[in-house]
Amino acid sequence: MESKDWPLVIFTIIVQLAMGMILMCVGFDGYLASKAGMETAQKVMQWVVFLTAPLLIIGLLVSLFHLGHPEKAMKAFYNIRSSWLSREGLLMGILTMTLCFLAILHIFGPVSREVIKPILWTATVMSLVLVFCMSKIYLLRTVPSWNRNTTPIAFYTTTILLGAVAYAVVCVSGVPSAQGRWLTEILSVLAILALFLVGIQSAIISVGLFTGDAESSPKEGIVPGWKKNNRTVVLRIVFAFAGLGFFGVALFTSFLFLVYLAFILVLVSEIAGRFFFYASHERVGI
Amino acid sequence: MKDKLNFNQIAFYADMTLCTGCKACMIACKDKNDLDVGVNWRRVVEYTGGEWVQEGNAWRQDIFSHYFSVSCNHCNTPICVESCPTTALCKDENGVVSLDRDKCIGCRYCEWGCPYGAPQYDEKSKLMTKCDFCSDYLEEGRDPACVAACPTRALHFGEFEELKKKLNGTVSLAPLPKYELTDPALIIKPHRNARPVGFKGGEISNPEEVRWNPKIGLW
Repeated sequence: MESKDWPLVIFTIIVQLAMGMILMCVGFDGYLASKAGMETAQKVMQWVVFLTAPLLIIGLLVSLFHLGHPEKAMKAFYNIRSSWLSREGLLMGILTMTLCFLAILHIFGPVSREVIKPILWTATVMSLVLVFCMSKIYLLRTVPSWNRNTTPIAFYTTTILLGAVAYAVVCVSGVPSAQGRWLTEILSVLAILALFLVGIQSAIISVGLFTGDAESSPKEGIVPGWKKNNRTVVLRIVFAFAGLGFFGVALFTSFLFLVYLAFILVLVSEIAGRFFFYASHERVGI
Repeated sequence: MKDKLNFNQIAFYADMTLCTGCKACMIACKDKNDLDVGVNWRRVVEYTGGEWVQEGNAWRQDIFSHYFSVSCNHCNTPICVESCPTTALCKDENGVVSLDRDKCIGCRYCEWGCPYGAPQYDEKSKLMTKCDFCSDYLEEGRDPACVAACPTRALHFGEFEELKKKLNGTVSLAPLPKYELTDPALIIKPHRNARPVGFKGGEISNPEEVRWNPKIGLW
């Protein structure tokens, strides 16, 4: 990885975190409304909107630092016909505007759930497509270490994992009266989901390490960049499982603040993972 | 003087059997295009390798080393043009992959994909740069700077299909990538020690000259 790629690490993680929260919000909204009541569901949805809109804006701004000429960023939409980067940029802009519109609706008073829900569903579909576009950017036929089926899977798992842990934080802290059976049940489902996703990520890491592309890495025999960054991968795995551990402790005790710690650990783990992803770039040829 | 501006697909021809690795082509390109330190549109790759091999009861070494000069190959299916989000990169009427610097935003996406390291980032202008086949020289009826500078006449250029018919060449050589990836408009007459695409026993011995790849780690 080159230092110029740091904005991309931050951008992709922030945006995937925001999109994951949108997915979780839509996924759990019905359950939350039936178990915890409309008011709680409304409150959680409001928090998700208020958090994701600025996250998407920050993500967009951070991504500009990757450009040599940020002032010309609008030109990045010119090649929708063949460039996945153009498609990602366009969809990213539309998603950000959608969430900002939702946030503005919330600011100017209580809005009917019937108005919010279709917009949020649209944002969910856009998020799923956007993650696909983001992963397609890296499926370059000349970069074997990226051009794998595991790349889109890794991007989707990161999105859902970060969304699940962040949604747990919102549930714990966003609702003043957050307690009772509904919270335990939601946290349990989120914890199982997170465990499943970390399992998938561990499998992806193993596949990457033990079936490294010989064409791109004739010397190392494993994923390019491994020798230099193997500690980053170890840090990623340790932090992910430590985060899950704290999540579990929070679930079985009354120390709900541990959910925050779990979120931080999972976030650092994902940043390390994305760092290693960029570090593994090695194209064929000269 | 030839009719230089009437190509379907313009292409370079490099005769590895004649290349001595003098790098006059690199210098001529840098000089003509006033390229900054670290930006080398044309590069001379030194490819070396070899090991001990057993023949009966005897062991002998098969060490080899040779040069070849490479720049943008103005591919027929250029990955840089496909991926450029701004359409700053495009194929012109002569088949040259040209860069519109007004459109370029310096995202460096083209740099990620090109297997020949052709699009290169200029730190001063914060924009991509690349070989344009000396289009201004071609318009004047002159040879590209690299071709004109080669003292051994190892570099030529012309219509891709005609060169293919006229000259017995290939591009399926290590350390170049598989031909099918981008269909480069390049023909090489191989050195006697050239190895096929995918050969693992060799390496580029001057990577700092031909690659710009400052990798960083977290620690």
